[in-house]
Amino acid sequence: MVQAERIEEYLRSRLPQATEIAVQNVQRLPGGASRETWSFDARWREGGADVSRPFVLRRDPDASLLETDRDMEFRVMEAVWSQGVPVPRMYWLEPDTAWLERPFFVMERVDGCEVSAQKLLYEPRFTAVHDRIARSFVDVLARIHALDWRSLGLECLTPPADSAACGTTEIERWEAVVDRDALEPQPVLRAAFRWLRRNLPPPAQKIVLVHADYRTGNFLFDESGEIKAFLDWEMAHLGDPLEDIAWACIRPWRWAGDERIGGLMSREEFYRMYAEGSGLAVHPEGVRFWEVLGNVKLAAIFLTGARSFCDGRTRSIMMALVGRNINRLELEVMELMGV
Amino acid sequence: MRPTSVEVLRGLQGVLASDIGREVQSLFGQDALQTGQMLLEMLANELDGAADSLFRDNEALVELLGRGAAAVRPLDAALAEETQAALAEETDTSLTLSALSARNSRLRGLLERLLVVCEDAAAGGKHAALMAVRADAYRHLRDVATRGWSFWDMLSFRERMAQLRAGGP
Repeated sequence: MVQAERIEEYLRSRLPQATEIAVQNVQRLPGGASRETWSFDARWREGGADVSRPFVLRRDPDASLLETDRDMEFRVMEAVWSQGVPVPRMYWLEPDTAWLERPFFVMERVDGCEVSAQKLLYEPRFTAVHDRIARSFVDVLARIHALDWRSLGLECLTPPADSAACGTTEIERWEAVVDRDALEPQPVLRAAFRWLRRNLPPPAQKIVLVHADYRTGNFLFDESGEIKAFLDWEMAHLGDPLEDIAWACIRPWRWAGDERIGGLMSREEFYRMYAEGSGLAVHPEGVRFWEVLGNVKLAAIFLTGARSFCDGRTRSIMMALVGRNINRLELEVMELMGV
Repeated sequence: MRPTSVEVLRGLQGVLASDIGREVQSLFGQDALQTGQMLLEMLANELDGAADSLFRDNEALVELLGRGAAAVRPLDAALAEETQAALAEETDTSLTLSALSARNSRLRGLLERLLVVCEDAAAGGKHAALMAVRADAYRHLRDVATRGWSFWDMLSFRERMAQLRAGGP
């Protein structure tokens, strides 16, 4: 439980000029499987004026789908926000467990928006803005990939050795997760790792900041059709831009049950708009490699959730659910491998 | 025995969707409830055929691995020996899910190793017998992967939930 009084105490430490700090409406929000997400409103007086602000607090979980570096996520979001990429503004990163039992960070809450892919795709009030959101989805991705990560101080994300190493780096990352977390044999995933090593993509056209969870269901939008904020940067790293393209394409994120990417646009439209916006070519064979890897990666993430559930490190039934849903990812992997 | 296990699970889904669902106000609570519904949906779809499915899988795997052991011998004699030894072991004839699952896990572990050899050999275009086993192995794995209810089947789930909220079976 996250208590309003504890947050008030924390805000007093962070806002020494503020008086009469009051925190209300503390509630846990669904989603954000790697960290707990809490929403709250805060009011205070500062410089003779009343200040009122909505916040989101993301606290480290007891166990999660992913074991990610909170400090890195904070730094990346802070950096991309400074460049005008739509993300919530980051306020404070708190490693001290004395405040809320576990480390956390606090960021802006973007109100008046939806995040649900189902709402976006099935509620009639959003139908008219699907094209606009699709355009915005591609534009934001091109902007992220155009960022100069060196000047933003993001070398700490450790770039791959060279542009040809992006694929191998990610294979090794996710194979290690399967090695660590698989509770039973995984013939399809093991075979897929071998297939991936035999079918490495062409060298990346450039090494970019990869969001690594860029998909429908991970952005805030409203009825105007504008993407207000992109969320869930915990897997961000440096790598091949096609990795983000392919992740957005994988079947689990198509949602609408057909071939439309993110439920929003055809694959051809997606590739064309991205190429126009980024100046980078989209090689279908490269995307195929990254799509196989994307499905394998999602399966590996699910294995981590399953292990934390079976080990008793979490009570989250979401972890049980995802652990039992690897079969359709296997099917997709085999389809993409052509076996 | 009535109600059957599946009937109980469906009943539980019904009460969660209606009476209990109405009492849960928070977004987090509603989300957790929906996740629980999905798990029940999955279990209700699996339960009746679970033992039969594992039993048939194990039979298919034994046949596949028997051929695989012979085909893989030129490339990995140790795996061939180990596979044949495993297939010759006296097995538990129990039809409990735990016994069937343990056997399944053992056989899938061997299949995992066999497929890795197959994939490494696939680039060369040789070893026709092994490639035939590889094709059959993937056919089997596809068959297994298509079974049951998955949360990707969201449309059917939505229909069922709407039915339950309306007081249907």
